[in-house]
Amino acid sequence: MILLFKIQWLAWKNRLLRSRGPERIKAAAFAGLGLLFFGLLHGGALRFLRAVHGVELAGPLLLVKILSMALMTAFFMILFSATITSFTTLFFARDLSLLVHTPLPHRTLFAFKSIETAVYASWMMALALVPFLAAYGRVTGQGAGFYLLLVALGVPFVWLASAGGIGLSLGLMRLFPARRVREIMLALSVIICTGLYLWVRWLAPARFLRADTMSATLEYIALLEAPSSPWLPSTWVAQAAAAFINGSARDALFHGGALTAAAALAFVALVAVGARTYYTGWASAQEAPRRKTRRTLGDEWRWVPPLFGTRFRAILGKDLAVFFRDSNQWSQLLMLASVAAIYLLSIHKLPLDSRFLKGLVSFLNIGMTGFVLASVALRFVFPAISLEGKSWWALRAAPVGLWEILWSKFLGGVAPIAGLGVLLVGVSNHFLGVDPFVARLSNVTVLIMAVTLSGMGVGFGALFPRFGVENVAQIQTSAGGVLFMVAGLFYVGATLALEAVLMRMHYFSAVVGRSLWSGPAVAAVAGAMLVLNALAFFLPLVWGHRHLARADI
Amino acid sequence: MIHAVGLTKRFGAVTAVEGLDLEVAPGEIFGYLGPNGAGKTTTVKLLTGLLRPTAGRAILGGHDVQADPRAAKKILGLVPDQPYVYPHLTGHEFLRFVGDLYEVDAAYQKKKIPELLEMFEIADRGDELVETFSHGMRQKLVLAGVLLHQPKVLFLDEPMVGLDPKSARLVKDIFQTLAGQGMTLFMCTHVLEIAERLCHRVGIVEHGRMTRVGTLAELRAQAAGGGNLEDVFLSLTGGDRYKDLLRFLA
Repeated sequence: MILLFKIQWLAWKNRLLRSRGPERIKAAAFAGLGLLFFGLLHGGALRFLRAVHGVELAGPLLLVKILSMALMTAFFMILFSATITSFTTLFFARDLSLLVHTPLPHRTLFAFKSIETAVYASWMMALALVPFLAAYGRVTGQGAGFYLLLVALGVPFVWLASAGGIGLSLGLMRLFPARRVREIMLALSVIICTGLYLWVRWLAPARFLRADTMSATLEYIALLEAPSSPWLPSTWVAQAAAAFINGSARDALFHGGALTAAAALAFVALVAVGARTYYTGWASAQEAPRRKTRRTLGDEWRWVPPLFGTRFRAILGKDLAVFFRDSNQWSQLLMLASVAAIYLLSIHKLPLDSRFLKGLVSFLNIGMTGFVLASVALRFVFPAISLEGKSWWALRAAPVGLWEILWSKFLGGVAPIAGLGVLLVGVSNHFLGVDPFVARLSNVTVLIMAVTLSGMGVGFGALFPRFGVENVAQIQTSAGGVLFMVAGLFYVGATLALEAVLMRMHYFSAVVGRSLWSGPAVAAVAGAMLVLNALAFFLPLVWGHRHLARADI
Repeated sequence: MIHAVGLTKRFGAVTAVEGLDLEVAPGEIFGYLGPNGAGKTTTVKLLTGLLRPTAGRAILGGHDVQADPRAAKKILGLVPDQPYVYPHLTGHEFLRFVGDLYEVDAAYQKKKIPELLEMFEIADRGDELVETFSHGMRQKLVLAGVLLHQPKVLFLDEPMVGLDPKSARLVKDIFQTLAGQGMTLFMCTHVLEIAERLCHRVGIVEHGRMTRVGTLAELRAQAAGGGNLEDVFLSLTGGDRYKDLLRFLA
């Protein structure tokens, strides 16, 4: 076991020591952004917790309840994350084919991989809790001892959540065919997350945060019983922390002891079960199901419109076939449907009672749709080049021009993105009851944005390709993905700023009852839009093309 | 048909290929031999345009691979050392994809693809996803793809790895037939028996430099002890030291 951790440590050390200049700059930039985000979170949490602490009599009690709620949320998120992560770390990780065939006992391997799963599944949640817990300590006037206690309680807490997730995935692997489990979980995870969000959104919790309803919010929190269930590890942590704050070392020890004992028990039980069942699960995960595929493509990709030549159609047809057969990719369609549903529901629930407010929201709606389109382009268009993966050689060794490849990726992405944009803006405009001018303007703008964002997505994807990754999520969350998103948001912001000129003329004309339209102003906006879109569309594509042409394979 | 002039590739401080000058004639099978890490795969990548040379030029059939890549790639076929093929395509679809990339006539593809699948004994798996294929089956699929578009120059990087004996024999016969029809073959291999049997000329590469080139008879004359290609190879690449290893194991 120590040897396995040593290998991990060496891999980390080598990656760190051998990182070059650009990688270090990238890491520093991300760390800076992260610290800024932490600062904002900490400030928000501090403000909220101070308000709660200030409530007469019930303040300290409410604080414990809030801590308990936050920890419960973290617990279930880690549990869920561990379930998903463990499929990869325990059953599909590349190093397993080597490790399983060493004389290492399966029990040791399983224990090591379980700990690795717990780390991967929880580090982000643990980091996200830091600003909140720091604020909690400040509000309750605690010193270093409190934070040390939280660290000590954090380890068994995280382990208990992870053990639950790992146990769940072990059970699922016993019950269902291995590769199906991963697909089922992917689909389920999207459906559950969307369902939860829609449910919460329907409850419209934002109204609880308004100043006039703050007291009702606190009453609501006080009434919630579920987070204080004595059987939840989150309650034990919250109770131990509360006891420490109150100076009751005995109670803090009791709750902390219960947590640690439960974690130790969970470790022993999980490893005992894993020692018996893990190898069978791993072995079944290695068996690719021999399923025949109906030739749904008919004459392969002959159904793709014959506008663009054989090679072009071949690439586009291949991409579509691969998309619908790869669970990592089609599951994102569910995500797309979720985004559309969440967005439209949010628009539907907006309380708009004045003409001005309606106009403002319909204008901002263009920007929001642009934001959604940029996010969708990040998921579907940006990874298009990287998803060629290790088969990229087949395209590059063939007599296919890089522009042909880039255009086929662009056309494959632009149609669904434009369709989504028109749907979002059309339905939301209907909910908002906007006038014909705004409806026309938003439709045209969204179509232009769909084209430009798709071009940007392909261009940035070509500029920052990651052919070696196994999972599409790693492509989206890469530095290139972040840069694309930032550039996309700048583009949407600039579009909105230009359109504000037109919207202002339109609304002011309606207010004063005569036309305030200015020909030169409209021409200037049109010219600026043309330049903006040409730059945003072509520059990344040209840069991406240049990068791929120079890149070694 | 293959013409390399001072072809060089450096990765930072490491020189993977240094000043390669080479001429391979139409219909010739050229064997490229060398120890692991000598620069064989890098050379193939340079000659097929998958890598940009630090210096020098690669010309295929009169087309500069860097200056006129499309014309050069139209006449070349590549079987890489790792047959990575889109895992979510079926074998049949992959061949159709390759055929379309090279703009092979659709009617010809319809007739030829089942024949190729049959020839490589993977016809019964043709409609299954490539992710279920073994390494050898993927290798056969890539070879079938290359035969489908009938290149003038064929680059083979360890083409026999993963093939069963029957398929390996079939592939050897195919290579000889293709060379007989005028196709030029450039083959990297570790299997010296194959090089000895198939190749008209052999180049030996060490530390990025092609140190020897010639027919087997010419190489034998250069080596100290003569013998078969294995003896010649070991003698020329300093493999005699393996005798010490054998003594140690004994």
